[in-house]
Amino acid sequence: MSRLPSNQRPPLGLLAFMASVVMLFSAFTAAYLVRRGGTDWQPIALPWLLWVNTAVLAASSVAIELARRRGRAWSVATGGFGLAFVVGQVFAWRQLADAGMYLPTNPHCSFLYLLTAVHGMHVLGGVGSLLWAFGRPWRIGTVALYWHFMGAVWAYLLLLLGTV
Amino acid sequence: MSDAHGGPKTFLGKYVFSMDHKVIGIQYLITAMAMAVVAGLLALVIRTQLAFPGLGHEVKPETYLSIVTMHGTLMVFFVISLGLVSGFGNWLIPLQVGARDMAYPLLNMLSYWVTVPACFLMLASFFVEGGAAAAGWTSYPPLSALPQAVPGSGLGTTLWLLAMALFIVSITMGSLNYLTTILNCRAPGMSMMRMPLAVWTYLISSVLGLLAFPALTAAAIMLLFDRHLGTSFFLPSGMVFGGHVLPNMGGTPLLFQHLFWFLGHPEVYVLVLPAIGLTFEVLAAFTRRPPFGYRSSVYSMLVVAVLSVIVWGHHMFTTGMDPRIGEYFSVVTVMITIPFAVLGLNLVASLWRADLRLAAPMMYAIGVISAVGIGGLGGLYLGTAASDMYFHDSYFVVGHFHFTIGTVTFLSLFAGITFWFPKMFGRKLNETASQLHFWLTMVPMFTMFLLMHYQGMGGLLRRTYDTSVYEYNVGSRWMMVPISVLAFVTFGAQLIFLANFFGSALFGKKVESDNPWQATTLEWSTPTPPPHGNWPGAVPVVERGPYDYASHPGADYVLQAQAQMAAPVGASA
Repeated sequence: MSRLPSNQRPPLGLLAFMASVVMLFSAFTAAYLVRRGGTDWQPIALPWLLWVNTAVLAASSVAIELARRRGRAWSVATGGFGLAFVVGQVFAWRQLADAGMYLPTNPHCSFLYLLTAVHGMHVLGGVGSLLWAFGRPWRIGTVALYWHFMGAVWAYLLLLLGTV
Repeated sequence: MSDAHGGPKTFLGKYVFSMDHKVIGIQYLITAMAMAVVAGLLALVIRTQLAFPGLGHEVKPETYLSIVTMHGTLMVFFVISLGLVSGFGNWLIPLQVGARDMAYPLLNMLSYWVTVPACFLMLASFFVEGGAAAAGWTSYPPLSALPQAVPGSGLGTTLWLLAMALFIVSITMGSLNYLTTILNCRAPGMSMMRMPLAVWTYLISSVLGLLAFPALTAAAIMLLFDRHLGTSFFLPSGMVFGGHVLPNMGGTPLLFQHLFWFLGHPEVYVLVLPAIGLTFEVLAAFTRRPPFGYRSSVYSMLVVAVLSVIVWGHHMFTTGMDPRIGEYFSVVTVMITIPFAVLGLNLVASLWRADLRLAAPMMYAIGVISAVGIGGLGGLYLGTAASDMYFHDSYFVVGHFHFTIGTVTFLSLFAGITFWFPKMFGRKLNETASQLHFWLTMVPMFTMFLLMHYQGMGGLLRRTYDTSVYEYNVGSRWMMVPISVLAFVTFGAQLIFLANFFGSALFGKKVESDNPWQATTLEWSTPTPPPHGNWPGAVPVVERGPYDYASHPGADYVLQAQAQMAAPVGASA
């Protein structure tokens, strides 16, 4: 058990890291719920671009599954979709700003910027880990696990930010 | 993963950007010592100001707050965490579980090299405009959230937050490594219940760290947003500063306190559990028998860990908390005494009628046990809402946490260093100097922190710049000067320790044996100091539990990796 090659070792370190990330978003959720109970809470409409970005992120999850099976071309596609998602999120911020919704405008808005930013940073980490796994097919499974996890976190955040 | 042969050849690869867990552990230890000197000097400034308020014209009230803040921050995160968790965790875990290195050596190196800029950022904050952060080591808003509040709330607090963020990144990488190494990289035969207790404590502490630190990360990010981007996560409506009403709306400073203490309380156990773990290791070798109640200790620590994440509210009894919630936090806090009493009694019972060898590591270990007892008792009064209402923010609290995460952890670090020093450097510490250091550390520490409890009962409030202007604490005022003198004695004693450490590491007497204390765990079966990859041949096969003392006729102890005894054995391990 001590010297398993890394492709057979369950990615325990990643699982532990994911637990840590779950706790990070739990802490933000706690703060969000407390703040939502405040008297000055004004829900705002989510920018429609978020739904496009969600589709892009879902496509990237499909792409990384194909990367596991068909090889590195799909890795590039995954990375492309991942970057497109992050760029899309930035454009979603532009949409918000154009609607007069800036970071300090109201608490819901602050959380929208904050949580998309923190999630976006984690997706960028995923894109970085694609480089780490590029040409090393035994690592792609580990990255895929993290990638799907980021998709799940995003679905959760949409649910949290979208329910008012 | 690294191999038994073919370690790095260059100086940089060997000692600076090393991926060897032993080198990284020692790098962490030495970093922690350097930071301890700074944090200790800050304590001396605090004590000078408290004992002789007239003397301290150099130290203005805002500087005093910065110094108190930095003393606490450096000691908790950059001395004790770095020394005990990152330092000993790195050095000890692979050696004790029988691994060649950590599971992720590159991550391990990165974790150290993230710590270094964190240290520099933290120290640099003394030299920026306004000085270092001044909102206390807990960094409560609004003081920490308004850059214009006090001089230290400016760039100093920004640097504080960035340094803490880097520190959390480092401790997260370390914890991932400890967890994975302990669960995945143990030597053949090293079942969970054959792991030394120190490894158990690091396992539990790394799980706690991974789950608790993200709360502080979230809080720090939101605080940075409030400070620099105009959000109102923690800033309430209607705050007036300099005659102007601030634009912030509806935030709640209490939210920060909740998030901070969700980390802050488990952090105590992240530090104290490894301290107890190291103590158990020392006790076994110097009482020549297994520590009392291995299994009950393991289970108790697990219960302590679970309870530690649901009790954070006991730091906030005075915040106007609903008394029913306060009652809940009181009850679960006091419940921790049950598993902790088991641990404490196991420590004491390990000494009961044992054949004690009173070398320096054992002296420190006995000091740890005493500090756990006294420190723990003070906790009962603070964990109960009714009495905490009075003691909150008094020197009773200061005395209490200096016993628990001050004295317990420091003495255990000394126990650990004196115990494993021969294995680390292949040389011996000077025993006389260690003994002298023990007495000159333990007696002043116990005395001053005990006196602080009494000052707190007398009503003396913490973080007070000049206590001599208040009438209410006149009864305990005479203690100020003695405590300060003792603080200077303690600091002086640490110079003995540092001289002993570095002098012995370079010029000490070489050890003749790979196992000078005749201990049983795996690290004593390596060459001294252990080479890259830890064991020159195959990784040892573990044959027995970690503390096989005095259970075989004709053998005082049996190494964990030693195969079946040649002589017929009556009672097997």
